[in-house]
Amino acid sequence: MGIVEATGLEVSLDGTPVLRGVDLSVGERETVALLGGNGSGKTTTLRAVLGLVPRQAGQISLFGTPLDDFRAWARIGYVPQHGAVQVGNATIWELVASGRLPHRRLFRPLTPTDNTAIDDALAMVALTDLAHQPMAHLSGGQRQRALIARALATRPDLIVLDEPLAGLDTVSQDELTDVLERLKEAGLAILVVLHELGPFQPMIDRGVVLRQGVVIHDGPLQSAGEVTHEHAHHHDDQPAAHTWAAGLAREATR
Amino acid sequence: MTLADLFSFGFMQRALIAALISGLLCPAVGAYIVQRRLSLLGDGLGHVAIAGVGLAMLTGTAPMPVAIVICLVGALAIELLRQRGHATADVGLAILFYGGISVGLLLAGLAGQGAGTLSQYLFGSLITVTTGDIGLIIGLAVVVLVVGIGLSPQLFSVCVDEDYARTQGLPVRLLNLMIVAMAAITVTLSMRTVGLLLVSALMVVPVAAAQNLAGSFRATIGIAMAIGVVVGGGGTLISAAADTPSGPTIVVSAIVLFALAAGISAIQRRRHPKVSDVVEPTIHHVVAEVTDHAGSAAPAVLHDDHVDYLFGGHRHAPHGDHYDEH
Repeated sequence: MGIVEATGLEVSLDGTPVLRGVDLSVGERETVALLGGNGSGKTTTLRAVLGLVPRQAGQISLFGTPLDDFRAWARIGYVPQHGAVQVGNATIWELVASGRLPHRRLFRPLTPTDNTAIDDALAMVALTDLAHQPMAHLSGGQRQRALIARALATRPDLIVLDEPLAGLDTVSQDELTDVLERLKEAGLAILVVLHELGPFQPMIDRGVVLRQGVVIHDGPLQSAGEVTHEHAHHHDDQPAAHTWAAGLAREATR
Repeated sequence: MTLADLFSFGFMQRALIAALISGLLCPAVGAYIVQRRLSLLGDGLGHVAIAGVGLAMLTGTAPMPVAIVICLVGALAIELLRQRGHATADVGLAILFYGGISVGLLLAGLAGQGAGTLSQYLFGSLITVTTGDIGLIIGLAVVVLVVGIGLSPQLFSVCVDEDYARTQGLPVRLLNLMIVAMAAITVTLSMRTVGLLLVSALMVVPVAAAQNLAGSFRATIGIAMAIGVVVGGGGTLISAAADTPSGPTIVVSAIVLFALAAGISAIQRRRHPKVSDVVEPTIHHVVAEVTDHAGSAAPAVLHDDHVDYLFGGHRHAPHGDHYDEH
């Protein structure tokens, strides 16, 4: 039984069809990348799977439970795009502590278990020393890591990331890659929306490439290095040779 | 007559109690409103409550309970409109807000009371706080504070990131409705002291001042409530001593404290620059070989204020999530 099973997803936003029959699955301990260009529907797929956008058709189940009946939200850690989060002057610790809410009861203080989980999550992303800094003072990479720590505080089995590399410099991208590799080693399933594979490429087990709301490839990304390499170049220098998957992925990101 | 003599009168004691409670309550609720970037919501709700005051004048009942009910209904309607995501929500809000003022003035006029009587509710009037008002103010203030402080982890999560809160299984719609309901109650309870047109300032300005001084969300709420109590109490004393309208006196006091806080913050910033500039300087000043996007090492070249990486005869400069050619 997969952790995420979605079939025949159809989603329209403001009357425009965005997903037209998308299938997606994520197995235990599997790292799946959702790839595609702007408007391909990759972020919408992720949001539909989490129940953040309504679907017109299709079945979604999480951990074997239909989405509409799913209550075990503590098993999922969602990491939105870091630009979208309004943090004001909340500290990293406060943000990460809010990740414990699926485990907390109303009107009760944090338990020792909560505090341990928060400390562990901070250590996992190497932000222990900055825990009491306001989020507003952080760099993009630090903010992204803080959002990952918030998702980890619930001790999830699946972590879902929306374009975690966007807007980060190469050093921050590499730091983030280290963090995700540790999560993969720890046995988490990972579903990640990416505009380009970048430094994540070696850890991706399977790529699902979308174009105009349709899956055009679902499988391993052979010689995916080609994809990243070509994408980073400007598109007027034509590639010498491509595998089929790399070619599709490159085309989809245009 | 000295200030002490003045406060031997029951109505002045009631005014002071009401102002202190408003000072405590407004920033506590305002912190969530500001975090959600809904600073003008309090203002709009004040407008809606005016209709309630007008209705009370026409029917000859106590203004505060009627205004609370009308304001609550308006607030919940606004929030439901927003949650439906109607494209016309913006226009809907404007109609509701200005409709509130107009209906209030209209009903007050029909009741034979002019804008003059209404203005004591718009800008605050110390002598008007009744014993019944005080009971209502204390009772509802306790409810709002218990919810606002007790559920602060949940409310915080919703204000920071609604989508994320939804993936935590939180009842996001209900929590959002609670936030606007708390705002509606707070606005209306403050109509005697700060006034319905100025109450939004007491929700926003102490929070803005506290944000300059506090290093966390929790400290922001604490400091904002302290500032609220100081300007509520202090403003009432000044208002009584100088015979000035209470609402404007309290709000101007809050703005003076905000200016002080902003000044202190500016001085602190000069002494302690941001973490991201200090803790990980390598992020901004890499002048070594770096692994490039194809996986091999590329020689780095300083180019004016940034670093380029040599690639088969041309230079790449990292720029956000892509590379620029230089």
